[in-house]
Amino acid sequence: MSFRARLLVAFGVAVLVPLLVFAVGVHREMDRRLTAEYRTRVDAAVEVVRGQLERESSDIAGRLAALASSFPQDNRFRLAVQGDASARRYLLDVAGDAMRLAGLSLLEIQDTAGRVLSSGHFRNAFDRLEPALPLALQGGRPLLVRARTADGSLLALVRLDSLRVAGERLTVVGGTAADALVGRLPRARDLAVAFALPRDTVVRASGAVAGEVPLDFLDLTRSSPAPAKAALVVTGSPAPLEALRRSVTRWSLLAAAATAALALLLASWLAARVNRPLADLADKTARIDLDRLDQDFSTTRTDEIGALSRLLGAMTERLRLGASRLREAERRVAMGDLARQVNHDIKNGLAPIRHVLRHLDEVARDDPAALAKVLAERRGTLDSSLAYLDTLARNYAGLSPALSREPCDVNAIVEEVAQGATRGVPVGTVLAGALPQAAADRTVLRRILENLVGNAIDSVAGRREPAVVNGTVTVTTEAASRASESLVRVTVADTGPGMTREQLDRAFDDFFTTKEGGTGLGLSIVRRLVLDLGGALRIETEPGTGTRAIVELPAASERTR
Amino acid sequence: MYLRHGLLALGIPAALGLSACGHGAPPVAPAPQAPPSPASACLIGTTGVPSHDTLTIVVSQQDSATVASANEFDTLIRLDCEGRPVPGLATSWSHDSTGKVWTFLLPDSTAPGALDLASAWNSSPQASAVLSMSGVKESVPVDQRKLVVTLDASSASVPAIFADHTLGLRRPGAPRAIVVHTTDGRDVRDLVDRAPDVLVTGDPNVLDYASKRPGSVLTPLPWDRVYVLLMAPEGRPPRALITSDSTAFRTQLARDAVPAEARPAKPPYWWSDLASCADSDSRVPVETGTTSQVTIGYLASDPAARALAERIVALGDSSWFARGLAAHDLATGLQGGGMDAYILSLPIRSLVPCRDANWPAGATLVPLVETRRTAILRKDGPALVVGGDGSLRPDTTTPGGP
Repeated sequence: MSFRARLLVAFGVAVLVPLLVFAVGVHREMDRRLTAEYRTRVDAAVEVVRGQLERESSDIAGRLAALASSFPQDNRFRLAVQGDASARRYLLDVAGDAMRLAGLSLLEIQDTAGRVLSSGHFRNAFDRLEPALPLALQGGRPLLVRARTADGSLLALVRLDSLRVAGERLTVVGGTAADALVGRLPRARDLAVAFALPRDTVVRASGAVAGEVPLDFLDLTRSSPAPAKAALVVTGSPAPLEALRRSVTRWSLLAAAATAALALLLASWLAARVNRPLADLADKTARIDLDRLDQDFSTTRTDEIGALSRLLGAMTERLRLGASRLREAERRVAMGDLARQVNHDIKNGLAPIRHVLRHLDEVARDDPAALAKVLAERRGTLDSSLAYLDTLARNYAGLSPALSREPCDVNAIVEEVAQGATRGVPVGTVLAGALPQAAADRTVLRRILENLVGNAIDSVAGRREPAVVNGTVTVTTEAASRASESLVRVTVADTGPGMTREQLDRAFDDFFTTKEGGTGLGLSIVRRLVLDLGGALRIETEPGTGTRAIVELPAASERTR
Repeated sequence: MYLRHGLLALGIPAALGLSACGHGAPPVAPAPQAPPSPASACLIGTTGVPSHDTLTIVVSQQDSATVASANEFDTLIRLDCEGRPVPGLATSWSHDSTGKVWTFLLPDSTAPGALDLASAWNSSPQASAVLSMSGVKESVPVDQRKLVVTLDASSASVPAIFADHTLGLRRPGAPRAIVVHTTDGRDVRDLVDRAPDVLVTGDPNVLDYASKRPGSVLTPLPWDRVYVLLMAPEGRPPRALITSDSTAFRTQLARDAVPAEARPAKPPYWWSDLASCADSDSRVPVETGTTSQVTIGYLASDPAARALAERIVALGDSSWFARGLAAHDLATGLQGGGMDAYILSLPIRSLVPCRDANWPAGATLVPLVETRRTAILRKDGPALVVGGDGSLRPDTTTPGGP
């Protein structure tokens, strides 16, 4: 796992866990408070209903008391009760008239036997026997009653009163319609009030009953009315509360998600801010080798990364000094080797000459006449040795060319080299447009490229291995930069057999060659020439993947031009 | 066809035996019949002088068509409030020895004449149908003065069918009657305050109010309406309740239940024999409700019908209910069913029983109570004639009348 990923995970966990704990806590607390508030509202509503019920009951009782006191004063009523036929119709209508005047929904006058003398809500129900109604009201408490009417039934809250007329005790039962009573109750948001009757399972089955006020109940529409229990229930749909809970949950999750996203973004930004300089340092460090010790580690940062950068810069500087010393040592060693090699080569070149001269001396001494003939015979040896020495001299002369730096068109030189050195191997070019000119010696640059292209051609020409046959060479130019320095990069790539690690380690050594008949000086000379031009040369190769020789030369500056 | 004539007459005192339904008397010797004068009991009002050119009559919407027809149409004969025939377009009539051929004489100067009347009958499908179902075989105008009518069966008295407005002609130049409905939701006492020429009502409260007004005269009208409980053939009406002690039951209904002047219904009933009606078999059997409830329907705008339904429900158990219906719904319910019983208001007499018996075949009719209403007249208002169908029209016979 990368440092950046670890930083992200750590930051995320550090933010998300407390955030989730906070969100769950808030959600639970909100839920608890909402439930408590809902419960409080329900209790308040139940109390309001209870109070309203008591007021309604008291109001009904007051109206019945007024009627019970006024009926005995009515002479026609008195005559009717005594059986006066002419007043009978008045008696039948009196309950209806009184009911409307008193603002009641139900009114019934009964005799002691429970016979209906006059009914306001069911005018023509006279003479019916309904003793159960006054009996159920004997306790003085209000009663919820379902009474018959001509076209159905009427649910009403009723009270009882009594009066005495002409020596006969009469009962007066009156009340208000239940739906009107419910309609007069204060409206509470999300709460409803309804009567729940026995066997009325609709209200209770809804599961929304939040509170109730019990009531006695009598169903007069049944053939044998019996007291039962009903209730005025407060129902509250759980939907609004659930909606509120869902809303709280949704907003909690949304807030958590937004915070988490913000935290991750912040973590990512911080990780990037911390990681990017490290990655840059790692990249610069990865590019360091003995030929490229010019990486710029200078920084203005004052933190740990700045310190690390400065440490790496100091290390690079020490490496640069060490490399310089090493190169000097190598040069010295190489010079020693060269001297020994020159000594050896010259000896090798002079030995045949010495032999020929000794032979000629012997002929001149022993047979002067044959001197010309022998000279002619041995002249080839002399020419060969001299040619060998001449070649040797030219090669050694190439080890230290005189350099002159001027702007060079690298693409043009690449084209010339590619066209003149194919030897049957296709040499392709991929040339960058608007390539800056390189600050180099044109001849030296051409020599560098000829050597590299020649090596590449040698690596693929005449090969019969399946992986190498029909190999190609490609020369690519491109602009590059290193630190603030503008570069021209030339890459000579072949599809040859490549080199092993050991071969690569010795590739720049003088006189090391893998080619039959090679001097082992070409790549060494190329490296020195590149370095002399202020550039860098590196080899990228693996067995079976070909070789890429990469030359980076400083671009020509305005001053150079 | 029954519904087309669904507005049942207020009360049509007809001699059922004289109707062309087969109740004719044996043939009698031909003799000219002197038309009787209207009974004095059928004249109400005082001066006989209308206060203006039009006659303002306030009735219920249910009765408005009958009153309007009585003031706009002339029939061959009229029936007075006691059901006796009196001259209409015809001034006299006679019959032959068989009692089947009746000759009506119309005055010379009166237009329209017999030809106009016969032409109107022939051109009106409704008139033709009424004549057909009433046993009128043929009507032949001899001239403008004489109309000869041939019956299927002999009749001892002039057939009352010729007093039906379906067989009438629109009267030219008659004083226009303004008929005001009382059932449009207004307080009827407000209409009493406006002192119309006549206001007809059965509401005891309105009558009590009018009786206390010095400018009003209250005159009871003839018993013109009978309320029946129509029980569907397959319904579950309170048959036992009705038939157990019907006399006491009807008496109690009339005395205590109905908010109008009422008395127990008494036979004979004009619907007791409808077998001769040609299309009696075509009546659709009523379908009753399928629930356990017993429902009794009534015309919602009729307080007496509501009271009767309410009382019957009160005497039943808790599965009985009363339901008020609009006139159209009541007529539809009668034909299509849906309820177990109905409280119907019928005329005490019918000129065309086969037309007026607009209930399904197989239904049982239990007469309950008869009612009558009271005319509230302006003290100085015109004299009015109460027709056999309960209609009111200006008296044209009293000297000084219009």
